[in-house]
Amino acid sequence: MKSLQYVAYAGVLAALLLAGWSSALAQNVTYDDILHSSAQPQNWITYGGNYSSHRFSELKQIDTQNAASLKMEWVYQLRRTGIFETSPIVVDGYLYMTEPPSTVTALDVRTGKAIWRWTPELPKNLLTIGLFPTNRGVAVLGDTVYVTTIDSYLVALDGKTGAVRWRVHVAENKEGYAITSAPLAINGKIITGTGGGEAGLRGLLDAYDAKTGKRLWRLWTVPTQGEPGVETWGGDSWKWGGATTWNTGSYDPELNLLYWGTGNPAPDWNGDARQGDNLYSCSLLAVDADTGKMKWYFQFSPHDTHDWDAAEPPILLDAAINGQPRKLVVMANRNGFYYVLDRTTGEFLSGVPFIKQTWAKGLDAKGRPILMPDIDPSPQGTLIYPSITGAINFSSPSYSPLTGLVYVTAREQGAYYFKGRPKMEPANPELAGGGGGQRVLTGDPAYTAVRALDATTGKMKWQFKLVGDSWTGTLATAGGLVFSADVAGNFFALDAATGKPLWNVHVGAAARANPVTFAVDGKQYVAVAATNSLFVFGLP
Amino acid sequence: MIRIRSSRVAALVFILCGFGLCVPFVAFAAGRAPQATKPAAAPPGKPLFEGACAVCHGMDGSGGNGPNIRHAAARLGPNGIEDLVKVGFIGSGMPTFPQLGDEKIRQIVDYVVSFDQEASGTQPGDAQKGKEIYRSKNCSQCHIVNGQGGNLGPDLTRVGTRLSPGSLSDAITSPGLKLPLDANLAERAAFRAYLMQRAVTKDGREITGLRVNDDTFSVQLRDAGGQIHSLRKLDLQKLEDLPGKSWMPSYKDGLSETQLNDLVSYLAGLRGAR
Repeated sequence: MKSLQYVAYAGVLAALLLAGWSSALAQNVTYDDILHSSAQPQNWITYGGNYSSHRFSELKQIDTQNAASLKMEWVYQLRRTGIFETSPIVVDGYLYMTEPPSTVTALDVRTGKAIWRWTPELPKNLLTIGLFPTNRGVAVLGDTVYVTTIDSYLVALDGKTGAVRWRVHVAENKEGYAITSAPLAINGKIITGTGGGEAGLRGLLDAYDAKTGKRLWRLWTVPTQGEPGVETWGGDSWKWGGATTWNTGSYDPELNLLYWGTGNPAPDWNGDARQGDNLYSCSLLAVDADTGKMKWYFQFSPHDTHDWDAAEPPILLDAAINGQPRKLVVMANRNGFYYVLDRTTGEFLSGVPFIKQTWAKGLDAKGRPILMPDIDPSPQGTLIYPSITGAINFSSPSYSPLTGLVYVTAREQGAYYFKGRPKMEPANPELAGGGGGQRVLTGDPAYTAVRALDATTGKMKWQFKLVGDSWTGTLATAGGLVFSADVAGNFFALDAATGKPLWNVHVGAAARANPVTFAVDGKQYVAVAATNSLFVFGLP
Repeated sequence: MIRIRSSRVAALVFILCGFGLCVPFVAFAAGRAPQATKPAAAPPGKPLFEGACAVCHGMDGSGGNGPNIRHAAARLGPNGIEDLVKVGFIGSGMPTFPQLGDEKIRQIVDYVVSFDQEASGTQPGDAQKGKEIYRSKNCSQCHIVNGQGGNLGPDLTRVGTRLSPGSLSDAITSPGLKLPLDANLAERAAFRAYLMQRAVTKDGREITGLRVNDDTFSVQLRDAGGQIHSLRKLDLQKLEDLPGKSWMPSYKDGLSETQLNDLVSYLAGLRGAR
């Protein structure tokens, strides 16, 4: 049996010292605080910045006029190496981040000094099939910090000391379940999904009581026998269907609906044994937050054979469509299309490509792709745009209500898709469940770009081309800026209206995390994780 | 049986640096006892490779979002590959595969080694004669092999692991026309080096040279005199590619077909100092 190991790094003593230094370091986050996150822009209070996953900050101390003078404030270096994808949460002077694979670290945002650190003991035979052992961040509610672990536990930690309050088993790592995403805290509940879509399992979405850790509901993302939708899986392929929920979703408190994306059906590149649409893979699910019942779904890529997960966080916004005010959910999907849906009903409103794509002639009136011929992976390789990595992956886009633009990191890349073994072997790390693979196109001038898309039409307003790849999301601010980074290690600020570069710094190694901004003592900071360090910048 | 020597460690570090990650890997590599590695019999490792490795490295090892590893054996040797599978590339995205166990990892290694043997293929000419042609044509005036030669053109010490015989032949007869772009995104920067570019700064200064490094905000060009110019793209009014241009003369008419084949064979055999 595993036991948790609480690592008190300077622990309570440091907390006491800091408490004497500043009373501001006494956080207590209410649901109401998260609901009205824009009223306290000094805090980055939930994974997506707000429940709508806008990743937009009202802070404007750093703006288009002074961004060029940004300087490094401090750097926090990890105590171990790994894939570092954290998006920090900041509350009243505390910065909570995760270190790979499942450590939580609380830092003082003024100095970058650790206040406490908690590391779970992980099984030696940990299974991480088709994913990296990483973690993208925590959730906070009350005075508690919530984190999921790579061996599929949800843990509640005391916000001031890191002491474990409760710990619940979400799913069985021996079956391939592994969690890398930040949980979402709503009113009295903690929501989490899991990864492991190549491991031969069924995806799930869970809600837990924030006080006790008791599981309140579970939604399986692949139906079982007797349930509607199981007929979309050939034979008994639903048993290992995948459709995991490996990134953080969004929440509409008025409709009381969660919006969560699902990943690929399995095996990824060989759909022979899973004839049908494979519900609810590669979909956006609208889920009643009280009951866990699915209110509607929209499947972007029916019977996907290209690994085009719908994992990036959906953006919720209200805007007029054809003169009528609508509650919308928009998503720049890994399959290359930008979708606009009615988030009350799931009605498809529009969808246009935001990168070069060669697999669909277009979308029909209901948003279903009209397929080009011969797009399936093949033994000799089938060239398709976008590549397996996709037009966008897990990185978060941002939305500025000031410009009406959605800022995405878009990838222009094609690949030959190969078809391999048709069958899954559940929890078999040797085969990783992919059933094929890819080879990127020889001589292809592939690139990534930060693109500003009209939020309601998907039409590109500007782009800023990057050399090489990017795995970083974007951050938009009321200062008229968009921040992002690339794999060469450039962290940069663009003019949100024009895309003109205003500032950049080379942090020395690849970034693959979403930047955030926050303030303390009246000073605004921007932060990004890159390779083995968290870099924090501010005005001199 | 191949023992990890200092050159092998250096090669490993080079690869890591290629990932933008110069971490000292020496700690685990140095002092390792030699290990027996099975000869390249391939098949048992094929399904293992396609299940665990192909998603990043491509079905034939030619790369995807992970690097092209078709010549990994020439660069690292079987033991070096085995180390990477067991330890991973720290920070690069290459995970460890401890759950596979030693035997299956060695089967994968054997399969990866077979890529290199397959890619090396049969040479079209006589490498010894090719070496003499390399000398008589003064190729070393601009190219380095094993530390000897000029640095205006690419270092050819490992060119046999990067270019096929066909590509080598093209590079000799039509320099600049074929850029070796068959690399993934992570590798591409390294392969961009021999593209000629012309930069014009906002104050009117013009620099033409070989692209040494390039990223979103900066570019380094090496001019005909060997001087390296490090330029911020925001300071430039123009930066243009000069595809097809090269400082290397064409040897299309200066070599017979036999001589060309001999030279290609010599270059194809340059697979790094051991």
